[in-house]
Amino acid sequence: MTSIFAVLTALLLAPCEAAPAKDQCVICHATMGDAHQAILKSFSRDIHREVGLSCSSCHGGDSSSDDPGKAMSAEEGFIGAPTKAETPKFCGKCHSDPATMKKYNPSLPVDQEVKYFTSIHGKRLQAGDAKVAVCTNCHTAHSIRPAKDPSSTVYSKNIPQTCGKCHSDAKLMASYKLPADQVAKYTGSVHGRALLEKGDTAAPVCNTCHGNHGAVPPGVENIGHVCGMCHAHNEEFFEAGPMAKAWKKRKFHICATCHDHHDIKHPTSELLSTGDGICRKCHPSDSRQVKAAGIMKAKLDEISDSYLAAEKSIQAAEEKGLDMAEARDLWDGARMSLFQSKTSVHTFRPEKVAEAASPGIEATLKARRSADEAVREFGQRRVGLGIASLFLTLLALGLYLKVRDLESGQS
Amino acid sequence: MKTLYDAGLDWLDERLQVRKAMEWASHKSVPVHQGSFFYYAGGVCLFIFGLQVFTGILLLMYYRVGADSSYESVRYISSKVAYGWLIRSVHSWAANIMVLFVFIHMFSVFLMKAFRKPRELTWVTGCALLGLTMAFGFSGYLLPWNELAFFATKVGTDIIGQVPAAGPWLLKFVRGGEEVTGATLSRFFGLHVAVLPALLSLTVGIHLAFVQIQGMAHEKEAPKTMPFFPNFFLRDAVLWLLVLNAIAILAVFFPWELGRKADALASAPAGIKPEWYFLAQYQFLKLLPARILLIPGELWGIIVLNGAGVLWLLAPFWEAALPDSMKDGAVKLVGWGGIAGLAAMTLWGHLS
Amino acid sequence: MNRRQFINLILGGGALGCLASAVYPVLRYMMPPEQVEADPDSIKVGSTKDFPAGSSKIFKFGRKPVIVIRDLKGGFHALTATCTHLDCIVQYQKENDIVWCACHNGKYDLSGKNVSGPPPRPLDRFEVKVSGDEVAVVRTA
Repeated sequence: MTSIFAVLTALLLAPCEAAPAKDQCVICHATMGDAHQAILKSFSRDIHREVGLSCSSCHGGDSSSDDPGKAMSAEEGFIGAPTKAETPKFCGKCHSDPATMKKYNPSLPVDQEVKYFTSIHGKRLQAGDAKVAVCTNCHTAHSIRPAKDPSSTVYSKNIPQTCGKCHSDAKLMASYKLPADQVAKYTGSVHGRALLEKGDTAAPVCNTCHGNHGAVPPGVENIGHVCGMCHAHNEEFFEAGPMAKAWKKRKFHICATCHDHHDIKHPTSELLSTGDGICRKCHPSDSRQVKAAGIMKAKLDEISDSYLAAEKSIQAAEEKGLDMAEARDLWDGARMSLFQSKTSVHTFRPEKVAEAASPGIEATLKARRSADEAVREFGQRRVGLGIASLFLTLLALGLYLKVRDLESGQS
Repeated sequence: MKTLYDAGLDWLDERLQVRKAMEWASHKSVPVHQGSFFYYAGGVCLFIFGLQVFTGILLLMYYRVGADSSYESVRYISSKVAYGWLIRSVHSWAANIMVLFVFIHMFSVFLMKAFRKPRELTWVTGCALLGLTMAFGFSGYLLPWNELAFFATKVGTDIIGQVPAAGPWLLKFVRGGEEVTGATLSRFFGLHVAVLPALLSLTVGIHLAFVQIQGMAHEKEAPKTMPFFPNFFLRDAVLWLLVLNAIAILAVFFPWELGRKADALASAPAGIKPEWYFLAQYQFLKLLPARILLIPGELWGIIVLNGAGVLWLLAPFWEAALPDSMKDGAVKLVGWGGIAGLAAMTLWGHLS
Repeated sequence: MNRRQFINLILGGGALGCLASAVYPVLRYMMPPEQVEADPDSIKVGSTKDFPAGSSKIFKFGRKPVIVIRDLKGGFHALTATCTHLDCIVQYQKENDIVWCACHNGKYDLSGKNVSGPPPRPLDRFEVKVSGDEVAVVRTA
């Protein structure tokens, strides 16, 4: 997905020739007001500048002429600044043209403009709505950087902020009857925290699920596939399980019904609680299904409790200065079983959960036993020390008595 | 029994003149007075050095020097090898206790004015032994190649770079390159297990020979003396056993930690400090402003510390040149001042 | 027993006890542990018969798990078995001839290169040496 972004950046041009040695646009505009200078300054780091393009590559005109009248004349192909409605086509001059793009970055796709007009943004723009986002709203006009560049507005960590420029604007969103809390919700979600706090750039961000140029909300039909790109087993188990049919019939979101969207929280076993768990929304408390949920919850609690208890034991041993590398390895290995047992919940079959959890429970018990054993052995060191100290003291005492004995003889 | 003992002695005597040596040893005596207790400090240093050689050789059986193997092998020693934790902890604790006893020995000799003529050279070799012991501590600290050791070595060697003119060259020489790397580790290892043991053994030999030739100071004024052998020697042995027991207790109750592996790219952990016996100097350097009279503060610090070291080394010579009325007062002032200053700076460094 | 004999008894007993309490740990220390090296440069993983084409096994190389794969054409590959994303243990999928992490659907090719999904880095590679029918995994320089 990001590669598409990376691509976009290498373009944005018109006739696309290399910059002439003396660029009259720069010479003149550098002497003009702050706004002109700001554009020149920001453009100096723009990817298009880096590949050798200049003002006239996009805006047209004759950059070699020092006569403004001639340089910026229609005869010389001067276009000037595009309006919002014109922007996609303006960028598409190069970015939709495989022949041009091949010269700069052959691996970059050329479908951004086409995709854009399939997006909600694109459709509304065509319908005459000038408030929607066009290329420059996300990529900027003159500071365009590749998506893999951390300073880019479309670098994964910066995307929530970029989308949020409009989507967190409550007033603007109200005019579309849309909520404006998605970025806030996302920031607190398991994915937002992975990306923004832990720095895991593999964590999904707005465009991972919504697409970038063809931004639309994923529909009820395909949301499972979107989540399933990373959570493959969850999707697979769910689709093969007993709930899939009922979900389709009731037109439930395959994942979001239980896990929400935007503010997807790290799921806990409480979701399976027989009291107020998510299953109870449909199944009565004495049903077979809720009982199964209870059994699965108990298993999940067993493995996570065992996992935590093992960590506590290991920590206690490490605090004594003992090396718990092996137990740590076992414990680390159990984490996978912990993940898998949670994933197996999507089969809705308690025996599958138990099967996934059992190696983890076993490993954590083993880790815990070996940590406890090490602590016990640590205690036994003291017994050994006691014995050694006894002999050392005895010998010291013997020597002392010997000296006294000697000296009483000498005096 | 007796005859076998005598026969053995005779056999040795015919070849090595052992009886002569024993006869000589029996005349050696130790003065008995209020401060006699401090006479044992030097012996403890010698004992611990022996213990360090022994445990050091044991550690060498499993230790493998190298940026990829040092940490792993130390971890292996302390977790996999039976009693490896004990050997390693004893080696680490004994190193610290040895430094402590070297300091006790040094200050007690100074305050008892035992460095005076004709023992000037004994004092000088003693100062060399202090330097060697601290070099042992500094080089050995890096060998587990853990985070603390890595950064302590980085900071410690950085100071060398401040030496005018030769600084950058010296730094490169000590580190075996621009940075603290596996090359530094190899160098420190060679120093720790080959160069320093040889130098220290040689210097201890000379130091002890001087003591034997000159006898103990204050022997004449002391109200009483005791024979070195067996009276003093057996007392020595009692104390060695107690020290050994103390080290064993420390090793069992406070096993030396290994921490995390050194990572040159990781940021330094907060509150990184050198070992306690370098803390006073470290704190002193830290207190100095960046620049004093256009010269970097650290350079001043190095000049002051080295100046103090040279004065200390030359104590027997400048003290002898002082007027008689000032001698005792000067020793008292410098000795107690030194102890108080070092203790205060160490404590400050520890608390800050 | 007179005083002197008593003292000699204490001395002798103490000395013997001290000697024993020093010699015992030292002898135990000198006996090499089962896991011979702290950080081996190579490990033997069995005979070629243990690895039919299209199979894989996980071994411990020092502290790290390593996956040894025999692909469908009979070639051997050895890679670190911990996914570079969140440290799950990867597995070999012979149907697709790839290394796959079940946790977030990360995929690697048999040279360890991350080819799709969240993994940010390739898996580290090890060399596999086959001599006779003995298979060994060797750390690459």
